[in-house]
Amino acid sequence: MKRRRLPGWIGILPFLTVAFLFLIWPAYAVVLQAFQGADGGFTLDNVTTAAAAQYRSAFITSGLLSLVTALIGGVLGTLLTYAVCTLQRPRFLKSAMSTFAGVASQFGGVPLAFAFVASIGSAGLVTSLLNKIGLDLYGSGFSLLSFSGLVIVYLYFQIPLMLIIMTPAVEGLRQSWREAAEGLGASTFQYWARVGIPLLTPAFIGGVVLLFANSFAAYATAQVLTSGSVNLVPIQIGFFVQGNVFAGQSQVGYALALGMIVVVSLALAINITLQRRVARWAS
Amino acid sequence: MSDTRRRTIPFGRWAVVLGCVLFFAAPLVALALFSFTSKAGWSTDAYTAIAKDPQFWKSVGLSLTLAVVTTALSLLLMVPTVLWVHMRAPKYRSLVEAITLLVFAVPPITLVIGATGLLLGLVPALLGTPFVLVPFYIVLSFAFTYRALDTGVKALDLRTLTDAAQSLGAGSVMTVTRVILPNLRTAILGAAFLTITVVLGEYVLSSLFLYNTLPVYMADVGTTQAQGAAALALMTVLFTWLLLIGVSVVSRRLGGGRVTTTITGA
Repeated sequence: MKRRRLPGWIGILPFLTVAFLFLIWPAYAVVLQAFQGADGGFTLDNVTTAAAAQYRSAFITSGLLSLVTALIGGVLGTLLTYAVCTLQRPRFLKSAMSTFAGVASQFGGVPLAFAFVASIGSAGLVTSLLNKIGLDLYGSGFSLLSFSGLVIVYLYFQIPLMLIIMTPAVEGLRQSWREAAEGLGASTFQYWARVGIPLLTPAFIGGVVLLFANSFAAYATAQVLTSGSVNLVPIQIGFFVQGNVFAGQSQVGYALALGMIVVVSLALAINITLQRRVARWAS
Repeated sequence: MSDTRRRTIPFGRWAVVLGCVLFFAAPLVALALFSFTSKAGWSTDAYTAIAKDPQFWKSVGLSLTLAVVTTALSLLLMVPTVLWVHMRAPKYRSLVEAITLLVFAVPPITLVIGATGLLLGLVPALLGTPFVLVPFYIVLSFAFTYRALDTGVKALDLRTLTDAAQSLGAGSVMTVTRVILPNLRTAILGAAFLTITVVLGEYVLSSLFLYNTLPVYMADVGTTQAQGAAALALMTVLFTWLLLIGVSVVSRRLGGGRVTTTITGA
């Protein structure tokens, strides 16, 4: 006697309900409200305001911060991955580094901000240490609470994230390929220029794009560190939530949020496409 | 031979590794030292001040409660979902996975602004309790929980296990509770660990919904006394590491594979 089988969608219904109510609907609300005026009618005003002077500069600053931290984090993360994957001597190096990266890539937010206040803040320990050897960090114009300060702080989670992304690709570089290249007379430079780098490029670009999205979406660290003095998109959206949402006054915040979703989604789409390509040759 | 021209010590690679280790370690070391300083020199004032603050204990209580409730509900939702798509409805697997990855496309800050109007309009009473955060935290940890559980299930030979259980007379329920779940212990542990760290570190939603969780309290302390915030940050970091060590020790005892505590991007 065979029991009647339940249809397949029944089992994922609870999951779909939660995802719909608390993820898809809020995202849909952002899109809807971005094109809605205070009176409820359709309008493009929010979007045009969001693209105007003050908010445009937020997008530019956010984009620049994300680009710089993605590129520096991407290059350093890749070099670190290569070093960690090929150094054989301390056996624990690789597993220790990948465990650390797992935690550190999530180590955004408030504790990270204070770790940097304690080290390179104006009263930080590294700052005073550098002072003692005659290097005046803050005298040279540096500030933790500025664009360049944020770059350094963001690298703390960008480099580990790149390590996690690049490890499979770097491990996919087989020793035998190098030996084959050398056997055919290639120099180390030629091997990297013709074989190594071209093979790593899709994973690298995919990783950099993901790092870009990661940094573009980050809010907590920048908010706690700069209290909003650096003009970033997430911080502007935060202002709208704090000030206006409950009064229902301004709709521009939704347009900013929409802009952010578009940028981040684009980056993720590029990343997924490239990761697929990597998966194809690495397997 | 190539060996003769290769240096015995790869200086370049070591420079990269040591530079990065220094960059990663310095802020943590500074954090620890800084939390034990005051104007007068070394002191534990920051810690005693925090321990005396009743708001600290309230925030810790709130964050831990949210972590426990979220983790329990998240597992209750995700374990059956992952098992279902693996055992009964494989055609929905990519849909579920795609939804878990969608979380990355909707950054928390946009989730907040999208949700405020929604919640306020539909169930205003919800905003009066911090438990309104729980479903959002479940969503935020979707990708981590799904990935950890999915990896765990894939590592099992699900078909052989179910066939064996069923040939011994076990029904579907018994197969899941007596055979599959015990084999998934380490994966469930990894998922729980990831959910707990997401909840304990979450700042965006709790600060904007005005709930005084631990990170919100930490940021608040930081505006007036940097040492106090450093002490709180250090305790959070140490707690996370202890939790991670605990999880790996327990999973090794259970004899399972490596716990998935990382997630490879989107």
